[in-house]
Amino acid sequence: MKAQEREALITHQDSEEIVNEKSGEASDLELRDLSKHFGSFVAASHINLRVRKGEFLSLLGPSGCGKTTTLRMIAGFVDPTDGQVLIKGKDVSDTPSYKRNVGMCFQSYALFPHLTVEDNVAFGLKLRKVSKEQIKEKVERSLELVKLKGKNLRYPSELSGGEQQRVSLARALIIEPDVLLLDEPLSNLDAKLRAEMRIELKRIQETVGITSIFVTHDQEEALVLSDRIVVMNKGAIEQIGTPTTIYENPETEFVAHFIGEGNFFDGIVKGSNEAETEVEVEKGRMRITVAQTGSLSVGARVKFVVRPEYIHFAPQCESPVKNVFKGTIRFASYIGSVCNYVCSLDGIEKDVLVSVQGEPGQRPITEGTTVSLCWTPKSCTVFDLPRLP
Amino acid sequence: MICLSGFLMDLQESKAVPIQRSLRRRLKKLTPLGLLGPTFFFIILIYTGALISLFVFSFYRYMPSGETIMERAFILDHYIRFLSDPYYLNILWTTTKFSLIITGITLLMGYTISYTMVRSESRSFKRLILMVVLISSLVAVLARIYSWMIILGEEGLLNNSLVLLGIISNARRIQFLGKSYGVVIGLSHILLPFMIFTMAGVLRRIDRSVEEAAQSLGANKVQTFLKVTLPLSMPAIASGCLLVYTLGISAFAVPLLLGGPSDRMISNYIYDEFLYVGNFPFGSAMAFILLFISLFIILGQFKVLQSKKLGGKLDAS
Repeated sequence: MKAQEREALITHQDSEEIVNEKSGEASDLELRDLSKHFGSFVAASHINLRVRKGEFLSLLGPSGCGKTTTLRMIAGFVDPTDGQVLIKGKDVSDTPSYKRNVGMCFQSYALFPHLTVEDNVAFGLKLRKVSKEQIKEKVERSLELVKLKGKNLRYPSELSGGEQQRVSLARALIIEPDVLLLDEPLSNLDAKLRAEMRIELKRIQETVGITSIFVTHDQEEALVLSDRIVVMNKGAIEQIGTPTTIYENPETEFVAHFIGEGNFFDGIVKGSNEAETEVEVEKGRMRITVAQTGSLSVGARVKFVVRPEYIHFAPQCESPVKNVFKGTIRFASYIGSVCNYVCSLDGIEKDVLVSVQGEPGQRPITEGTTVSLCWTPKSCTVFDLPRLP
Repeated sequence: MICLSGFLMDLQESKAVPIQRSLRRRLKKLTPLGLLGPTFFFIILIYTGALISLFVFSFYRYMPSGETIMERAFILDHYIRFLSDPYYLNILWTTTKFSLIITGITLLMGYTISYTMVRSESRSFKRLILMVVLISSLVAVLARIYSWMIILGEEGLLNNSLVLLGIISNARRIQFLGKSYGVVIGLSHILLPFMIFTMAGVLRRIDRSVEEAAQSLGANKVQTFLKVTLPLSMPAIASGCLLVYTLGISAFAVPLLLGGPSDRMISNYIYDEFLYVGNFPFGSAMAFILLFISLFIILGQFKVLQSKKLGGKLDAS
């Protein structure tokens, strides 16, 4: 992610936090202890979530983590085994889906193949007995919003995948739903179109200002689009946080592994002062200084991750620095914007991933070169900390 | 000597290899023909040949006193006779009526069954329905007809149960056999699996999330069915009905064994014409009228299925 984007998100997050604290009003969507069991299989267990007004929230996780089941419980397609779904403060757990006023976009688009674009979009309004003139006007306006003006009379099969998804978005938004549910809406598109639709989706969501729940298994999608991300695993929430929090401060091992690449360490605390902690890893062959204090006492077991892009090669290691190691480049893969290295640390039998941003004229370091590399104590993110009471 | 044989081998190889290769290539091209050949032979030559000769017969002159029964000619008398005589038109009407009724009954039953089967989330339940339908369709038609005789007879299972339950008195047993009921029940039972299998194949292709989309937009179950599921089911309904209707109008054994004299369908008359009357030309003409009706319906359905609104759209989804 680019630095500016990250910055923008941080300020965004901060202002959101303030707004939320000030207003005690009911959120558009709240899940209370929501659980779903299919026989002995627990698809979702004790999901607790408060979605802020106008927020774009992603449910992110591997397949089978319960994100889709959770979304389908919000939509009313799956009856929860336990717990409640509240939309605008009202318990809708027993309300059938057609009375919930939620908009939904499906992975398969789920357009009505026998209806034209116009009739697809107007479907919800016709059911609500809106007058013909009003329907016409609203359909025009929402087709304009999704940039599909003039395609009113096409049939879905005559549209490209991206256009079909736009229709499905227009169809869901036109009923002015309380919540917009998006079930992997971009995953059937090819890579380039997906990147385009991602921006489109964000633009439309921000224009309308609708509270949205976005289910995805694609971390990049979640990071780019979301105000907050809910990382799920095995039916439970692992962590809720802004994209930056999720990436930089994963709370659990699962989140650290699932989001981004990383170098994982597992060690014993050897000493600590006010700002830093000395950790012995790799069976005592390596000592790493971690910028983490608090609950870490000498002798405690600690796990942490260092992201590949936080590791630098020698010239950039300013002294005095901690965490300087010698290593040999074993494998270099140049992918244009960055160059990724696998570097084995000398005498430690540990491979670390290093990612270096490309610069003009810079050539990848050849394999077999001996390098010295380093990272700051701040780059080490400790996870799986014993939770403080 | 050695030198010579070596030369010969060289010569052989240089020639043999291209020949073998081209032969293999040619054989490869022949493979589909070879696979289709035997079936083609039977269908095209033997069966179509017989059909063509029947068609030719239908224009011949009937000679009851002659040695060969018929005489080579080109007359339309048999077609005109069938289509102008109220007696025969009534047969056509009976046939059409039964087929329509049976198509309607199997459509209602078949749609509910195949829809339930396709939409069921339990795989074992799906398999159970499939097995029941499949097994009943694998029993020989005659065996099924005789089972219905046992069930529907005056002293049969159904009447006995109704008497036992006190719904009807012993003296007023219902006569199912030799009446239209028998034909309708029997034919519906025999043709239902065709309806179910044909429709299930098409219904399976309807994306479930399309129905969910309708619900999320505010459509209740009935509205979802009427506005989404039913229109999308039209190709399934059309192909199921087409099959059952064409099979229905050519029914032979069921009207013969379960129906009465007034329930005889056109196939029964064709049979009589060939075996008892010996009027081959008229029998052939009747057979071709039946064939033309079926062809006409099939062509009509193709048109419907190919229309832009239904088939084409469904395929793309």
